[in-house]
Amino acid sequence: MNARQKNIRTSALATFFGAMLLGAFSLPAFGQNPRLDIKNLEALSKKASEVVDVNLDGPLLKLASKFMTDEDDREALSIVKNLKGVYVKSFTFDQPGDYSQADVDAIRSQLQAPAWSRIVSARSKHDRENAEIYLMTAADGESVLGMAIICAEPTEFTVVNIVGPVDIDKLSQLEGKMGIPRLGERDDELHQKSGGHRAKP
Amino acid sequence: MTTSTLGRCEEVLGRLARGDVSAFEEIVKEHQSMVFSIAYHFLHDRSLAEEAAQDVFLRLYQNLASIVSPRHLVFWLRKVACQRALDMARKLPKAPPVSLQDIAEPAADSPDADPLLSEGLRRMVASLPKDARAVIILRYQEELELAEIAQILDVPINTVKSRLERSLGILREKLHRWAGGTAR
Amino acid sequence: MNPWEESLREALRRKAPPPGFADRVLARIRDLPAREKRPWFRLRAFIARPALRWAAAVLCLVIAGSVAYRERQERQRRQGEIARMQVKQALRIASVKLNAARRMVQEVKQGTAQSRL
Repeated sequence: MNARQKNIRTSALATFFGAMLLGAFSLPAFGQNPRLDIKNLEALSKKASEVVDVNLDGPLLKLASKFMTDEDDREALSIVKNLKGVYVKSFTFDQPGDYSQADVDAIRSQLQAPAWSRIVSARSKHDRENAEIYLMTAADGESVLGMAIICAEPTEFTVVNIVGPVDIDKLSQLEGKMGIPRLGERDDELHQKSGGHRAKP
Repeated sequence: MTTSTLGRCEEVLGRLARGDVSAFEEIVKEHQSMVFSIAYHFLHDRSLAEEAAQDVFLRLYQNLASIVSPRHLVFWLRKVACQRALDMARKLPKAPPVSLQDIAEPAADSPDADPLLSEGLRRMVASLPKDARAVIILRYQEELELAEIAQILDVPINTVKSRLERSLGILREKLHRWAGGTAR
Repeated sequence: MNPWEESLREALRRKAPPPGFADRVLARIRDLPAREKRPWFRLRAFIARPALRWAAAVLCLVIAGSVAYRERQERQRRQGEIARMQVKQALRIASVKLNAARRMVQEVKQGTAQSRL
């Protein structure tokens, strides 16, 4: 190979590696994908007595947002508007043992990647409940890229995966609104005197 | 019922008493939503509810002579609607459990702010024990006081109170569970 | 009234019966002894005229076109409504589970604090 050919080859290699480096900077960091693979859980649908299965990617979330125009939708819309995906699989079973630890571990193992941080882990031996919350944050440590919740109870198994910058405090405050009672709420009307005044239409 | 509605109803009952049968159509149109809704929320089946509601009005026509006032008419319709719905419910098989997948697509003209939640609640109400279902419907659909409910169902007021309390507890648990909460 | 009882009240709001309910009730009550001739076959003779047939055909095409358009719009509206309901359901579940986990942690902490006291 003469000098000219060597120069051409060197500059070609330099261009190639330069392109690779540039490409690498645009790739997400290894394992930094906040979307979990929960397809394997579909097999549990056959054994479950009740199933909730929600799969909303970016386009569907955008479509849903267009229809969230009521007063009641305002808080949910503020959470959802910048999200890229919302995925829920929730199974209720007739008896304990209808799903296995392996089913839970298949999800948990994905959350062992360095990009995920477990921020809450709660276990109740008495009720045999186990709840974990994971967050994936960006390299700056501030912005949230995604969230995962795993709740395993004797007859119920739920996985929630939210992709995008989710506001956890806003999400937490939704319980008690959107028509869902907080646990421990009482019905005040029954504790008033019977025959008390009540506005009629 | 407002004063003007009562006045009109009085007039219609008067025409019926004088043999004007077309006046009955006005009574049906005035009260069809109330009767149909009591039956529908009890049975959660539109065709069964229509059958029950038609039976109620047929019975009303046959017993018009016993209606003494517009208020009595409304009382009578609520009472017979509950009875008819209860009779039909007794002949039905047990209601299936509530599931998100079973809920049909929202109707084009659904006025509910949250159709999924409303439909879930309606199914839960229709799955309550039969004696408690009427209490919930008369309380939240018709917005009646406990004493009025006791009169319609012909039970003591304390029975109404305990059925209401029990039903609300059941509904609250079911709703919390339906939304993904833990049953405690 | 609690917000969830408001939801219950809204869910149990009165609904109109299917169209024609009053007519069906009256039909049962009247129980006509002899059936009158149905008006529909008089209508059939009327629309048998050629000019009216063409007009009817054009009208059908126009209606079909607008129905197809409306159906597409309606399909998208339904998809959007379903997606909206699913979003709300998913957020409800997420909220409840999030708070349940937090409550469990709180209970454990309180239990630890009490045992230290």
